[in-house]
Amino acid sequence: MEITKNEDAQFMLLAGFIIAIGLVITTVMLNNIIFESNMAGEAGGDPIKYDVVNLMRISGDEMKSAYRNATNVSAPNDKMIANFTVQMNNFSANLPKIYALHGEGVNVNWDVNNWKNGYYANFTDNGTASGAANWTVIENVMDSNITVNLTTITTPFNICVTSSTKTWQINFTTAPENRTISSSQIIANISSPYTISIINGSNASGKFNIKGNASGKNFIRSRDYILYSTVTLSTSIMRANITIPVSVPW
Amino acid sequence: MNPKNFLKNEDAVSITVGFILILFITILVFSATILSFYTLTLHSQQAAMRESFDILGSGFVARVTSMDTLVNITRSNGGTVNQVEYDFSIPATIANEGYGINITKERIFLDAENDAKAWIPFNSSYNITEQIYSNAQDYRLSYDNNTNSMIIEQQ
Repeated sequence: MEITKNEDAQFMLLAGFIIAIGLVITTVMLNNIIFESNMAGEAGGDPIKYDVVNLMRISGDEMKSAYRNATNVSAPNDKMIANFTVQMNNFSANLPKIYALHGEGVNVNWDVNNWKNGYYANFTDNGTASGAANWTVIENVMDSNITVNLTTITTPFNICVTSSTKTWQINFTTAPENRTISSSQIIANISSPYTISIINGSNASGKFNIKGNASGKNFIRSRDYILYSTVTLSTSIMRANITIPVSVPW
Repeated sequence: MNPKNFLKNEDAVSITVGFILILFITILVFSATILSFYTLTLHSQQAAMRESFDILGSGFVARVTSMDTLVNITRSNGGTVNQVEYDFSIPATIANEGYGINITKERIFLDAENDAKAWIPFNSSYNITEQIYSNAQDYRLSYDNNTNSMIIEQQ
């Protein structure tokens, strides 16, 4: 029975090993717990949607601007469209460089068929046949001149000028018709400030231009054509390709 | 035995027997500690899964709502959505458990076999009814213009 009398501490060594292994096991388990409770997934909002909306917006604004610049000088239609294309080409060549810095690939295309062929827009909110037919162009107007060039009409179609107490309805019945309603004509019928609305806008197509002063500021609401802008945006995880109508010049 | 002697007696047991006693006590204490940790891990596994489900689900909801917003904005402008697609991956296991995700127009529901569940309510304007499982990881969420609905396809 040498082992019971041996005091060289071999069992203490063994105990040391057991404790060491125990510590390792405990550490691994604790580590697992910490890891699981901290496992983060993909959370938070999605910032790419703002980039897409922004791209839709700026490409629309650029088309409006290019249209205004191109139509500012009197020239044949083909020449104006060529000038418009120059500005848009410039825009669409530079835009991808800016977005590329954010890791996004973008492309902008435009469709000027309506302009080229002289297809005027509907008098709806967004200019398309399916857009809202009854809509308010502008509120709180002090004075304004309204020019309407109708190309097609199915009655009823009218423009309503409404003050807080009274409504003056301007009816249109025949097309083609160019009509200008001056500030003094409006004031003779209704007192300012007033609201200008279009009623049954889907029944007619053509151009309009409303210039004046509202809420102390000058404004222009004008539409010649509806052009289409197609924007594509792609990132490593997302792709979007969206076509939106753009009302030009404003 | 004389009580006086008992108090002064330091014979106790031999070092070997003492060691064996101490070892038993150590083993008992360690087993108790490890067992208590084990139940703790079980609890923390469920809690961790619920937490992960919440994070995963919210990330997914963010995509669905952002797709919803994009489509709504485009349609209100009279535009056309030709394509909106999101690629997303889900982890194969969360805390070593497979799971399923059920998505409808009003809510997203994640659950696993060990009863860990999470609901995330949301509201989308377009139809979506999908059930996906973690046995495949890569999916694509896209908007279908013809049916006005959102679909999820495995990649």
